[in-house]
Amino acid sequence: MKVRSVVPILLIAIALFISAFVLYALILTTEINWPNTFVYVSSVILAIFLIILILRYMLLIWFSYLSHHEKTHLPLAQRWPKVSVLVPVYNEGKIIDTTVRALMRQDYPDYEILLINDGSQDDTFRKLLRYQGDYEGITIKVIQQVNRGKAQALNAGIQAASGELVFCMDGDTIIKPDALRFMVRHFEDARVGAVAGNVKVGNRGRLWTDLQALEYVEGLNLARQAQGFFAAVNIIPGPCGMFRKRALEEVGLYESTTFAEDCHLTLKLLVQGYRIVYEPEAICVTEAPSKLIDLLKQRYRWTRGIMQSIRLNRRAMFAWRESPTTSGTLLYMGFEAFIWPVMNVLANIVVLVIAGYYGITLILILWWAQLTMLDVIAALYCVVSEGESNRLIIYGTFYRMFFILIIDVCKVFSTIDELLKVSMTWEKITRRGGVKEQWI
Amino acid sequence: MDIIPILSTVILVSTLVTLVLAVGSYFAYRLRESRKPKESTSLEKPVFFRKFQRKKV
Repeated sequence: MKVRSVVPILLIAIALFISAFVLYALILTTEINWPNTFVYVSSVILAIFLIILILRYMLLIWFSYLSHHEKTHLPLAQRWPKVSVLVPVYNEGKIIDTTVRALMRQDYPDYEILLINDGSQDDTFRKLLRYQGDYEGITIKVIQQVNRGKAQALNAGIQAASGELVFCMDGDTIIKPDALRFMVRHFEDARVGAVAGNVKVGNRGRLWTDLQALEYVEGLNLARQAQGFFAAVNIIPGPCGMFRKRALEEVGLYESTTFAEDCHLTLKLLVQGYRIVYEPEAICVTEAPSKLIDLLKQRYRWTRGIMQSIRLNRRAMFAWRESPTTSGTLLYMGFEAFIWPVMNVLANIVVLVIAGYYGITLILILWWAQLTMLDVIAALYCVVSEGESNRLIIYGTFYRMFFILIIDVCKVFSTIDELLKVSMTWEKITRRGGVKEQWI
Repeated sequence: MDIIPILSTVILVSTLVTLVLAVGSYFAYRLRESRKPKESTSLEKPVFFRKFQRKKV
């Protein structure tokens, strides 16, 4: 996507943000008969909450735009170092053929594919063996291990990898043929330790997967793009990330100490001083949970995993003078993962009380209108900058009031469980297939 | 009829329902997790094997 096409949307977004501020001023100065101090103070707090939300969106869109502008003018790599593609698989029989075939179509001069079977109980291993061998310019190797989890499977792959760069992905992910080429260009800078790719939902067509498609674009990729401007992306997504092998060895590879091994590894690289950037053209599609219960299971694990990762790297969080970028990244991460969901859930409850119990309905309507407007603006910007489906903008109308509220309630409970150290197990979500390449 | 009461009722009800759905589905998820059969520990704790104890002479 060219920068020029994003500029009008950016201008519209800025205009709408300004209008949102004006609207707030109107709310607070409107002559409402406040029944008591509680309602008035709550309304002021809600207005502050919304202002923070607007500022957050404005900053995200602005830095995302700067990052987008920077990437558009970044030249392709001058040299093509060998890349080892690592695919850890566990019971991926339904989709592994599509994954491997997409990998074999990579438009890259020098790469190998390592398929690591993590003790699958279905026909995955048999299917993998069919691909083992030397093809024109590609070598495919199969590594077999007893079930030890994704982190250990990836570590086995890293140790067997002969490439200078390592591309880690999931067994249910399909990557775009030019993904490796776009990612490699960032490693010309010796300070770059890893590059995050652009993950999209590949099994759309259902309410939950469509809402997640919007969330991946608006919630995850927009933030990652903005963080990329500071070279401080805080999570390299499991389905699409490229690493400098030396950097991985330096920080001690993946660890099974948390439920979000990708997050923990990214934070270790950041703490070590490596730059971590985002590449929007390195697109891959993955399977998102299609049932609410599976979605909650995934988010429960993510939230607790992020919390565990932050705790393990907490020393860097307060080392503001030594590394302000890393410290800021960790603080922002903690705010987004735990404080923000609590604020969002509480704010919604307060709005319901004010409107339902005290009958001040105007606040409810303005609240809804503001949140919806913000999400539609953000969705519009993301759809244009990523060339996404226009359908996602429609989901923006109930994305925050419905989807995000459900996810935030889950995050709040997960945070409480993590603080109380409630036991949990790492369990893979059942794959149903249905990932389509059309979304690449 | 005025549009504001209708709109506010729709938003109020839908937000309430969403909150109830969110809390309900979370507890449904936790209930499902707790009902899952726990992994067998038979490999960790031997059933027939007994450690040999040398008899004192």
